[in-house]
Amino acid sequence: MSNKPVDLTSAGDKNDRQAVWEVIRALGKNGTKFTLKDIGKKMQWAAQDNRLFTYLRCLEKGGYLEVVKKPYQENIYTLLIDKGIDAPRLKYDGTKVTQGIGREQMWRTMRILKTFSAKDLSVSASSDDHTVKLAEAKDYCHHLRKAGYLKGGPKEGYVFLVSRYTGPRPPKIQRTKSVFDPNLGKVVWPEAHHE
Amino acid sequence: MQNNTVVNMDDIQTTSTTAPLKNVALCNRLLETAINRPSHLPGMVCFYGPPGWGKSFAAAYTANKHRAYYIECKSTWTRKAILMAILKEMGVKPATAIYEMTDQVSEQLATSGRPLIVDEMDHIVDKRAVEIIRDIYEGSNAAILMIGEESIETKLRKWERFHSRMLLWQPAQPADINDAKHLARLYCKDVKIADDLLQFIQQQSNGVVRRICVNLNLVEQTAINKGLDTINKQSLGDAQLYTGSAPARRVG
Repeated sequence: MSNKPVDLTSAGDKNDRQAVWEVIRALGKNGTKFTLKDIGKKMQWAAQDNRLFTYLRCLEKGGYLEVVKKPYQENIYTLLIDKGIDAPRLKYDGTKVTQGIGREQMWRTMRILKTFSAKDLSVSASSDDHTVKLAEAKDYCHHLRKAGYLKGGPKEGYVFLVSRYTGPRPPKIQRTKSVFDPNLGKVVWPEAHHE
Repeated sequence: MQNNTVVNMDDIQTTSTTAPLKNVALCNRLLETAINRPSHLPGMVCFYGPPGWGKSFAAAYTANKHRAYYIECKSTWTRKAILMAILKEMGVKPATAIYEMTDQVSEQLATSGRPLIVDEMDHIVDKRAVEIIRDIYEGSNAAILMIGEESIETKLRKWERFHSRMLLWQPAQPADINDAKHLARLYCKDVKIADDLLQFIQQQSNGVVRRICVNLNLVEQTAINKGLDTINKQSLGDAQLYTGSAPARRVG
């Protein structure tokens, strides 16, 4: 086995936090210390960028980063916990974001069951920490069918089209009822008419 | 061994998950044993049984509970195909060479601490592809749950190096009356199904979880059509239950 360190980059589109997290992982490998400026340089963002600062603060509160603050000097960061490629989803106080867990579980369950009704989905996608309601499952199936991930309908049951699996991140239903696929980084339904 | 695998049904009546189902509990416990094993023990476990016995149900619950990476093998898959599938499931951009991809998978498994579930493992057991799973295990020391049909144990025995890294083997069990009861609780919220009918459904379905679900749905519909709150074997009348067998030949 080679000793060359492996390079993990996420596939598809990255959101801001994912991009920051990957830079942090690269900089902080083997306990190397880094500053805001280092990250800013790699991201081609200003080091004063609010997005950057907010996320670092979340990571610090969540125990992922250690910060050394000295007056009139830059903060020096050390990466304490590296949980792999997925950027930790944290709130401002460092606790885990729970929104979207149901969707993630449904998205995973669909792929495992392959043929299912909305009821099957709500039953199988529920875990002890998070129950998926039948209405939620119905709504999610309805939208994913429109976007072409599923075949079938509420009466005859749904079939997951394995060839349409784009990646681990579950598609989102936006407030406008359009379907956004974070793996592709674009709205998949309704399709954009303009080029 | 068989007796202490039966789950005590009484404590967990109110849950709205599939956790109390026998196979779900067995499968989940199996993976938890692998995750919490002492570090000197091997970390690969296998859950096997005939089709239709609720292995997918079990896999879905277990995968959700532990946020496992899940792949389902196809018979045509090569070593590269397996690695590509796992990397896609992880959302990692695949490298070009196979050895790099193996390192990527191992690194992500090791750092994230999430387990890997390989479903339909018997599809790749005949090929050298099986060595990839072993390499991933050696590289990451992560808990790996393999799911396959009954013949998987004898097939895997051929690969001695692989076989010696297995921690536990767990056969799936056919659905019993307790499972049917819990499924009725999950699936038929509006109609009460009498015990004699449940027993009948369980027998007719031959212990196959998916058939029980279909039959419960059918019975619920019949009850609603007849305007009943409670349905038993008698009030079901001559409605046919789904048994999975082809219709008998009709003459004349």
